Amino acid sequence: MSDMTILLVEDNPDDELLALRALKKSNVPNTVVVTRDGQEALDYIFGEGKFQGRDVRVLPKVVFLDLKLPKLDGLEVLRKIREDKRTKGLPVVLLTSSDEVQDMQAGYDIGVNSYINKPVDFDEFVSQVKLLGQYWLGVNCVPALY
Amino acid sequence: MSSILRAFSIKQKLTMVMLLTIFAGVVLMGVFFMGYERMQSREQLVHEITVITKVSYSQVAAALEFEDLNTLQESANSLDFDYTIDVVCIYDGNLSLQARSFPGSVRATPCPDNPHADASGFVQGKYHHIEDVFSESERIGTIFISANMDYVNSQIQRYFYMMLTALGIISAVSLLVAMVLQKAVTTPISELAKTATSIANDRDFSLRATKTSDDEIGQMVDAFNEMLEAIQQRDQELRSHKVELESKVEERTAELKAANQELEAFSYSVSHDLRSPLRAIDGFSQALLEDYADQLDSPALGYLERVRMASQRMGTLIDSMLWLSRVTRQEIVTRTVDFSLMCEEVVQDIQDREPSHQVRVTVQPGMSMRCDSRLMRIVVTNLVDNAFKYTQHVPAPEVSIGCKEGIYFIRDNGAGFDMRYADKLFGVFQRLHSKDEFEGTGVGLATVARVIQRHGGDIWAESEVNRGAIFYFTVSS
Repeated sequence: MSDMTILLVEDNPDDELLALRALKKSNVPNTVVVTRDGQEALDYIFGEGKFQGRDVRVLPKVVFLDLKLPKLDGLEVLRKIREDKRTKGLPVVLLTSSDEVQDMQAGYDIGVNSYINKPVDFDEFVSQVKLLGQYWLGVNCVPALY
Repeated sequence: MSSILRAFSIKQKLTMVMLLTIFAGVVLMGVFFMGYERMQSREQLVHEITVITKVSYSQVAAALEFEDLNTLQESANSLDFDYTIDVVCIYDGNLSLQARSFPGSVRATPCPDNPHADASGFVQGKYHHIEDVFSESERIGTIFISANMDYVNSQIQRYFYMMLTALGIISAVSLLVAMVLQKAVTTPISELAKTATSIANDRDFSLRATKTSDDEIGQMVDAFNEMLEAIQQRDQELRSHKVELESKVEERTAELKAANQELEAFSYSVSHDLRSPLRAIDGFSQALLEDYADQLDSPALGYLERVRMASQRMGTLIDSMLWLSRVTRQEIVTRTVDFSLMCEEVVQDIQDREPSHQVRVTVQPGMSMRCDSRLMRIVVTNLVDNAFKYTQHVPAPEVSIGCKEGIYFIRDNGAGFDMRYADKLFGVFQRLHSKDEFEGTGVGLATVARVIQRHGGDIWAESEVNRGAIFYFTVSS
């Protein structure tokens, strides 16, 4: 696993494709792992289910998490991440269409690192993703192993 | 008097009235009888003395004629018949005293020098009887008798004591009688009062007063019970109305809650789900534009641009709608706000955002307002934004904000609008200008109106095409 892994949790293929495109255009070297629902995301992080055997000591540099997800929604995934000793410091960014105050509040209450409201304008989205990539993969520092 | 009587119960008042009446009657009767007795006793005294004088008259006349002093003295002694007589004096024709008699020896009352000094009658608590004695129409002497009132007075005194005794006995008896009789009057009244009090305390209108007589109190009890009947009926009606009303309010509240929840869910869903496809439309159009520009001709590129513009515009509309729905749902927290300062800040923000569009803005200083500052900022922002927007094509744009008699206003000298459409001004998605003329979503003024409405105020506007517009609004104090 590369040090520059981003875990993208997104159920909408359109949004996934757009996010991947934006990341590609951001010129930040990265590897993106995509999971389609909350459970799959947790499986990846904790090396369970179809990710059985993954070296769980290697964590993604950042998780881009959507709020509305099948099975487990974004907030539940975030809660599970924060509850686990191994992942409670894992940077998580909520990347969502919602700019509802209640969603933001809930996110920050559980301990999200950042909350991004995805704009409709793709150019704006690209510049946001670029900023995110540069910051979380370049500027932000995390300990080598949790 | 009435304030003293106030403290007494009807029972006490009735007893008192009875006692006083009887008391007054007995006293009056006593006084009357005493007066009568006094008169009677006096008359009797006068009569007795007159009779005895008449009896002794001839003897005295003879004794005077013959100057027989012994007989004269005897006559005087016989006239002095008991202790009622103070003194008997017999004078001769020259009014010189010839005989004198008085009962016992202690009460020596002197004879007057001139018996004619007073006329016969009652003088200073005494009775004077003066009788001239004639012999062949020549006055040969005078009999003077002075009687005291001791007997009369003792008689009256006896009557007085009798009256007092009678008064005591009658009062005692009548008190007993009154105590028994007043119950007949007061018991129904007390019963009525008790019933009324317990109704007033317990609000139990099903109670009824018991009727024990057919007199005025009985009539009162009937009227009271009828009144209670009416009250009870009304009370029941009121109660059932209240229950009905409460259940209606509950129902409506539930409906409202459901509607609100639905609205919330709706706007939440709009926020989450409606923007996502728009983003896809915009994003993939952009991808086409970027990656396949060389394979498309210029109309195709133009169409793609239009697709992007339309989706972005729809994004703005959705945002505005969400904004409006949030303004509607948001809780209002009012406090006193420096409205002038708020306006200046908003104007500054907008001017910073559009440095190319210079507008002369005047804000009346010292305005304050009781409002929710966050929501009111939305109002001001929207109105000032509009004023700026619609003065774009004016050579010397001017905007003024002020307050007159509790009515706030924002005036501009911009494009204005046709007053015929004034009622559409504050409707959602209602626009009076085309997008080519002025940009806009048609949500701004709807949001403004919603905020003002939530502040219990009013908003209206006056304008003339190309002569500017004035927006007026109030907030409830």
